[in-house]
Amino acid sequence: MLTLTEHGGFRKRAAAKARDPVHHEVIAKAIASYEKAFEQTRAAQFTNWQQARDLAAGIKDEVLARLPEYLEQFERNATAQGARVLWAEDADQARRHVVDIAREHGARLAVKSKSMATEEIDLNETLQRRGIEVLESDLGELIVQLAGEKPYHIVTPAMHRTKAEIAALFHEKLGVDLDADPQGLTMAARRHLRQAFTQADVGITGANFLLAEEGAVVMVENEGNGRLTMACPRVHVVVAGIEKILPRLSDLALFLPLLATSGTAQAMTCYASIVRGPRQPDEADGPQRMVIILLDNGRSRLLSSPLFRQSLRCIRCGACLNACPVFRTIGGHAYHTTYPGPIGSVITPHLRGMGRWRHLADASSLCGACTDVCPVRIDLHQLLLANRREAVRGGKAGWFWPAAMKLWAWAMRDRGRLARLRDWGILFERLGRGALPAAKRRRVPRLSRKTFAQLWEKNEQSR
Amino acid sequence: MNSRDKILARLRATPRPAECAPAHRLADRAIYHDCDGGSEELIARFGARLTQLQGEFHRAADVKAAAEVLLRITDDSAGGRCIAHAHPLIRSVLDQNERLAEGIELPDPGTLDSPDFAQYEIGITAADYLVARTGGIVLHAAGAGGRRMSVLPPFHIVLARRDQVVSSLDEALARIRETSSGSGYGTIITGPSRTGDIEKIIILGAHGPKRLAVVLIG
Amino acid sequence: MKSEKVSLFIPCIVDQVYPEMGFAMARVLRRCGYDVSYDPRQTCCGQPAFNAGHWDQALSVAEVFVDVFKDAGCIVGPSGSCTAMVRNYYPRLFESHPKRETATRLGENIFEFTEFLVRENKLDRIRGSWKGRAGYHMSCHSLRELRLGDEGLRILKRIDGCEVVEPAGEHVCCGFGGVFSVKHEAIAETMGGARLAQFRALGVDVVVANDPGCILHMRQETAARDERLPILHLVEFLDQAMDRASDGYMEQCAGGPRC
Repeated sequence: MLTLTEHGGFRKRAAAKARDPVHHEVIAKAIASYEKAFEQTRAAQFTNWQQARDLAAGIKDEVLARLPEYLEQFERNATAQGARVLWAEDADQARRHVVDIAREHGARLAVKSKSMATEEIDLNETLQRRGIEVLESDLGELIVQLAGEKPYHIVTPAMHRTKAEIAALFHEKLGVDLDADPQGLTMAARRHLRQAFTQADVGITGANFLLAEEGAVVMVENEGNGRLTMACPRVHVVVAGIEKILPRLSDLALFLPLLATSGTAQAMTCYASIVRGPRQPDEADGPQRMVIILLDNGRSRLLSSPLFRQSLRCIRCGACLNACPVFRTIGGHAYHTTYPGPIGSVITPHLRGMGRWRHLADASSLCGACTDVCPVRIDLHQLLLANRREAVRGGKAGWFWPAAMKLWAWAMRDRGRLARLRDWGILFERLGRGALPAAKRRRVPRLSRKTFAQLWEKNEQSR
Repeated sequence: MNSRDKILARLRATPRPAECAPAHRLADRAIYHDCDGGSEELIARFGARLTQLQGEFHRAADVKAAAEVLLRITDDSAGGRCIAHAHPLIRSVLDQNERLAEGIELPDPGTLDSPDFAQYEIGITAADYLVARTGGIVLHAAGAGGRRMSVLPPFHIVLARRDQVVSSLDEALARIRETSSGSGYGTIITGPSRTGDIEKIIILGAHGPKRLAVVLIG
Repeated sequence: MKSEKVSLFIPCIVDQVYPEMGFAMARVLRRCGYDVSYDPRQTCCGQPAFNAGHWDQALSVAEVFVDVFKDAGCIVGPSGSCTAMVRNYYPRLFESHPKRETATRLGENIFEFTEFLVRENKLDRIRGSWKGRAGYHMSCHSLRELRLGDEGLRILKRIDGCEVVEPAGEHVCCGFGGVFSVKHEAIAETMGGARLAQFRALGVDVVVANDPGCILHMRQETAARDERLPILHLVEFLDQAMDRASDGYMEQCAGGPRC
């Protein structure tokens, strides 16, 4: 039943958003501004974008080929800097680690900076159920948290919200003037969170990269909330996927500009922080403790597939979402996944089960725009195709399409059979047109009276 | 088996690609536009980039001139409290001007444990490198008075010497590797704090400093 | 001079829905000096099943395709998408199959119409006139699988009086996507509407495309919106422009089989 529910729900949500012109306008505007800035930034910085993508893909492949060694190296070096490294096989273990750490320090308030890994494990809900208040500090994340929503986009969580909607939300939740402009709203968020940074017991962040040789956690951001989350509370907890490894510091000279360009169309984000452990002896401040949770949660399964391991190159820049005409049409919430858009449709069935999530791969015209923009050259549309094939081979494609395809192939193998099927088709089409009212907006395309093959033969005879 | 060993065992059990040549490391020049030239050119480049990002760029011939610049820009800031890192470069600038030194708190790093940064309007730190290509400021905690001084006060002022300007991030990272291998925290700051989370409209000063100024000495 | 031979590849949509496109292509190729032949045993390249994940069915149909064309020499079709299926995906579909080599060789001999004309240096054979503004829609598979560039534009620019325009910015899909537009009709409709809006904003008199799938989808959309914006295949457009030195309304479904 679950299979049906998830699929049917997706179709319904997707169709509703597809027919929502206001949504379309908001998203089109946001993405148009990204695309324009992206082209400018890329051209101003890179002489050879294609080569940059090749290099990045190569470094990530090298990491994936030696992932266990790199992870151990990271663990060793991070531990030497005084951080504690924990491992989580799945979301449940990761959640328990965080809850344990919070309890150990008697935490009542946790402040968070934007992190998709913590979204993946539904961390906020868990902590709140245990009586630990969680405050999202990234402006976009704060907006969706206050609205009781999930992030809409992996880089721009509140992309779907207009400034008027946000003003209404802040008015209700934070007592801000109804006519506040983006400047006023941003300052309201700043004031709202200032106290939290200094009062929170725990700061929770993700990681954009883990440097094996330095044992460092790297985090990029624009607002400064990430830096405050890492620097102010007594305890800093990092939740990071095991694929986030880069071999060494110097790789950032490629990956920071690459991520900033693809993610937010900036040459560099405002801040790129490199953290190696809690407060060191020569430091004036910093957290007393730092805990890094390395999350598998299905990633080792992706790694074990020769075809799908490339999806672990992903640096979560969101470029494939922006480029995807389906994402632009249905938006991020329709998917009901942590990772929407092409990358989400590729990895979710492997992380959370093909049976329930196979339908995601069908929601693509295979136009290939995602593959063209991916900064680490993941063959996204090929992997969507592969997911469709896997669903069919695993007997998870329902009964209708396999039967229809068998009939289709039976007819297409032979001109005579095709002609017979076609006659039936035309008959049904006529019957159908008489019997059914014109309920559908679009007509099924009508078959021509004669096929090209029939007409050609007649024509050649008379030539 | 604990979860660590289970995960590692699972990863080890996956078939590895037949061969994976070590990836090419960054061929900086092949990828990015050149950022060469003498130090004046690099400085000009850095200043232009920073200004483009709505940061402020000031030049001072020597520490004495730097003190004057500092006095001027801190005065703009309407009498808010000002805290600085007790870095030799900053000390040498403050020593030039009594009025300046009076207005700036220079706590001993040892006692910095929990100053209430919310009280401060301005934080003054040193930096490790300035990156010409991107307008970036590279600093590490031990050299910048901690992890918070450069992010909590709404106005961040950076003092640096001209020999700290490097062409690229590549170069800055290579130097960091040589010099500050034991450091716990580093940040690359590229422009004042900003957000575009509301309809992609850029607003400065989201959570970090709204105003960022670099005073380059020499 | 003995004319060169080409073999027509008529995709299933053209065979079943738009035979006039096939005849238009044949006529234009003949006017460019080619000796055109057609093997009626061909039905489909197998892409609909392949893209839907049903590779066994796709393979069984592709086997027939390979048998039909194995001795064909040069093959030309009016679809970038179907051409890409054979060229880019047959090697994978026929992996460890006895016909793999033949299938792979086919991919080297099969060409999308605009790609073929440019490659063969036949642009100077295109002469005609039509007054108006034509918007060109290249299919995603032509762009991203075959990596075609300005072939279609260069051909259209040969027509006197024809002003050719393309929407600015990144190329956007029209929303066809084969089975996708059946499984997710609402999404496909909106994508089609968005693509057509780009052309409408350019004030075009006609949209010219190089893939029958896109055309089928865009025509469904214009029909559903009661819009009189003709959507023509490039071969139909050429056929009419070369034929009549026309300056009027380009007709959809104009050309029957007169060869």
